[in-house]
Parts: sequence; structure tokens; C-alpha cells
Amino acid sequence: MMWQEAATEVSATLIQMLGAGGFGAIIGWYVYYINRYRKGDVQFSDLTTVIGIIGGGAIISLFPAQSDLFGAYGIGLFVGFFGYFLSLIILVNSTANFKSDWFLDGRRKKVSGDEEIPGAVRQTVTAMSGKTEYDDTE
Amino acid sequence: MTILGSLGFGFVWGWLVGLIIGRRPRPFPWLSYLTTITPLLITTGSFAYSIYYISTGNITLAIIFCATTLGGALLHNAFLQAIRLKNGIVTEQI
Repeated sequence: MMWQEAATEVSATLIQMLGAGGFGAIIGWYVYYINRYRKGDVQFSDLTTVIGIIGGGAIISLFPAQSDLFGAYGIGLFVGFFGYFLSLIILVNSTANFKSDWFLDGRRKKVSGDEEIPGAVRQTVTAMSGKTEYDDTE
Repeated sequence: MTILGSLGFGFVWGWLVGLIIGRRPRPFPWLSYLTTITPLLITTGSFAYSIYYISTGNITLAIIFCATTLGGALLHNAFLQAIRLKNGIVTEQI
């Protein structure tokens, strides 16, 4: 029985594993990016596209059954998604303009006299909430 | 490797689930509860079945995925709660 199960496994090369992992990392990074730049409050309908991206049939069908490629994809997804989040944490902690409560409601210090936020900069919602930013910078 | 993949996939999905649920207004309206939770459960089940299918019948991986999804959602809300307590912020949507 064990021999039969082993015989059905599909072997994956290192380059395939790295490819699946890297693919997942990019998807994960963009999932966080899309979520961060979404418009308005969090709704399930906002994430239907994301759901299709991270776990849709097109993705799943890329990986043969019983191979490790799906595992590599899932690991890459985790690394990309939480890598973006970790980057935000590092950036927030490395400047005096933000504190950790930026993650809650986006509060920050006012722009000082010799600084500006160009009008062309795209508005974001806070990293983890649905509130639109830049309301308090005037 | 596949177990790690299920864990990673589950945590990402769970974090998004926590984002959706954790940002609902308080008190949580029952209608909103149903219209929010139901599709999340269906989608989580769909993902779990995909993992079950791709692993050609490994139910353990599907269970690991579901458990990790729950863990990711709880971790997301724990993170928010920790910042809220640290900074003394009280908002309606935490």
C-alpha cells in the first residue's frame, strides 16, 4: 500500500519548487497591496477577486496532484503576504512620523512646514482598517 | 512540504477572514453576521476541498488548513487588540 502511494507521487524539480514558491510570494505580496489600496470599508465582495487569485481553480490546476508544488506555493504566499506586513511594521517603527496605532486608524503626525504630500499620491486606507486616509493632514 | 503549504495558505486566508470579521461594526447585526460569515465559511470549505483534492484524499491537510484559517483570524484580531490596548484607542470598528 505504501509502495503504491509512493508510486503515484509526482516528483518536482528544485527549479519548479522555486518557481511555485516565487509565484506564491508575488501573489501574496500583491494580495496585501490590493487590500491596502482598496476603496472604502472592508466588504466580502472586495475580496472575491482576491479569493480567486489566491485559491481559484486556475491556481490550483497549475499544480499536479500529489506533488510538492502546492506546498511551495502556499509557503511563498505566506512569505509574500506577511513579508509586506513585516515591511510595513519595520517602516512604521523606523520613523518618528508614525506609531503602531497607524495600523488601527491611520493617525500620524501633521506634515511640517517644509514638507508636502503631492496631490497625485494615491490615497490609501490604513493597513488594517477601512478608514480613508489623509483626512487629518490639512 | 505540503503541510507547510497548507499552513501558509491557511494563515493568509485566515488573516483576511479576520480582517473582514474584525472590522464589522459593533454591535454585530445578525443579518450582517449571516451575510458575512456564510460566504466566508463556504469559501473556506471550498479551499479545504481543493487541498483535499490536490493531495488526492488527504483529509488531514484539509483539517490543518481550516484550523490554521481560524488561527490566522484570531491572530489578526489579537494583533489589533494588542495595539489598541497599548495605545488606549477605543474605536467602534476594532
